[in-house]
Amino acid sequence: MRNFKKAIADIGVWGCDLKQNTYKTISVLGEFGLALFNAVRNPKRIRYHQCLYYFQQTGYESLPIVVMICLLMGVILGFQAALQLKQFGTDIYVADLVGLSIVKELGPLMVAIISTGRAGSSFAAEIGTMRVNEEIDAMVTMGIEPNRFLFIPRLIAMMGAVPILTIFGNLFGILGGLLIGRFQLGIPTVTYINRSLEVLTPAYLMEGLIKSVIFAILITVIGCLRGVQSGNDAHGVGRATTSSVVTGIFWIVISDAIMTTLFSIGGA
Amino acid sequence: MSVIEVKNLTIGYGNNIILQDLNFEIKQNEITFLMGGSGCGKTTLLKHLIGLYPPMCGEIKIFNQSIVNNNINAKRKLMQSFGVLYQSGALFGSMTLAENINLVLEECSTLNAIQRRERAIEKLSLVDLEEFADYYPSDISGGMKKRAGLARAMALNPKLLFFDEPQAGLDPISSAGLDNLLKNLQRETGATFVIVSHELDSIFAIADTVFMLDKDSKSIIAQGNPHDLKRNPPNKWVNQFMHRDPTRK
Ligand SMILES: Nc1ncnc2c1ncn2[C@@H]1O[C@H](COP(=O)(O)OP(=O)(O)OP(=O)(O)O)[C@@H](O)[C@H]1O
Ligand SMILES: [Mg+2]
Repeated sequence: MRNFKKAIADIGVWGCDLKQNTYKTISVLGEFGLALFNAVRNPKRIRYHQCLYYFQQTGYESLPIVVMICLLMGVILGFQAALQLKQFGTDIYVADLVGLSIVKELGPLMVAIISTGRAGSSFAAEIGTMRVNEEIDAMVTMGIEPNRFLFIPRLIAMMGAVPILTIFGNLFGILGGLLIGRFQLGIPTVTYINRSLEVLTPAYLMEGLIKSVIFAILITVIGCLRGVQSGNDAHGVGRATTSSVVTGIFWIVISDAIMTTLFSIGGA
Repeated sequence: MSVIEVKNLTIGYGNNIILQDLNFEIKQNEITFLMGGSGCGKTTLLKHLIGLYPPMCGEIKIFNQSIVNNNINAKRKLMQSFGVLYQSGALFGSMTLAENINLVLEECSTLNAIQRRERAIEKLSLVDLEEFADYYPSDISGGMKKRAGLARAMALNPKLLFFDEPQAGLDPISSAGLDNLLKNLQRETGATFVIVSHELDSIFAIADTVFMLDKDSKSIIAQGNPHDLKRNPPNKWVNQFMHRDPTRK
């Protein structure tokens, strides 16, 4: 009986916590939204040099890893496809398979996952540390709206950086497929490229880029949210950082599934 | 004249009351210390006074304006009328000392870039840091960070300054130096200083008035001039605290 009562009490406490956390999350998201609204209404007050700084941090500095992973992704995909397609003598379809899966799906997804690990986690850690150091309190008492500094420049930088990284990722992914096509299957380079250009319509490219913008927004919002919600000590910042990556990847996959479904219904 | 008026203030976290039904006034042009044992709620009280947390109930007025019940813009204006020195300095790590001060001026004043730089150097020289204007906070010591934080808090020439444990973590000489600095700044500017601290040496050296908070009764148990309180302690706790002697009756 005692255990039963305790279980009920635990469920109650859990419910209250859930309600409070949801409430806090919604209020932080509301603040982000408000900051965005103010930024759009008053674009002169955006701190552009900070945007550039984050653009360099999240875009330029991620380029090598993105290029390498996407190139290998293309090679792996091409290799697996070649094994199967060779049996039917339809070697040239390697270009279709690699091109389409990279551009529509894997390019944006890999870049998003890399960005969650590099950018999202650093956002959470930076903002969390600023909280511990009372820097955010200091902003508030200076009459400065913190999200104008913390959220908006990061959002703008990421919305620029992630799609650009995705374009690079796509190019190198296709190059990976090309290498397999050329050296494993002996398809002439020009033939492979022509085939790729044939199947990769602008609509598919757009689909991938739209996804990457949505991912950029998700990564930034989750990274900043976890930073703002982080505990007041090193332990709290560590947890916030981990959580930003886990939550980030979770929502990226969920939103990818939704978008892929919507695009396929939309007939793309 | 009082700069801060507190009426029936109750503060805490969640359902946990830390201090209850406080009523006090902080006088203009004085150095006031909020003191008390560890964990009695000094920092908590300070964060409520500067409007970072909403109180459970009661009213706080600064310069006759409420920081509790006021719209967000009025509150922001009111916050800009005072400066705060946080315990660790709370300098923005991505900016140099001069840029830290520049940011405040950029956001809250109409000065142009050259005037802002001049003002930043002027404030840094008040705390003897003008040579470090272009250093990043990570490249200076803890005591220097505090002084830089003080320079930033004074950027807009506020008439009211709050300090959270300014002497904590400083060696005796730096600590005494900081006390002198605070005293001189206060005399020169005629500003009101509210300092959270339990450093007895500093309290006796520079405090005009002290408020002593107590954890058990969750209220203020003594107030007045620290030397008077030491001579005529109103109760045992004050006696022990002021003499650094837990055996006193
Ligand atoms: N963020 C918080 N959430 C919940 N309780 C808190 C929080 N911060 C402080 N407390 C509690 O409030 C009480 C007062 O804490 P506070 O930091 O104000 O003490 P203090 O007087 O500044 O102590 P010290 O001299 O050690 O700095 C403590 O019992 C502490 O456990
Ligand atoms: Mg404290």
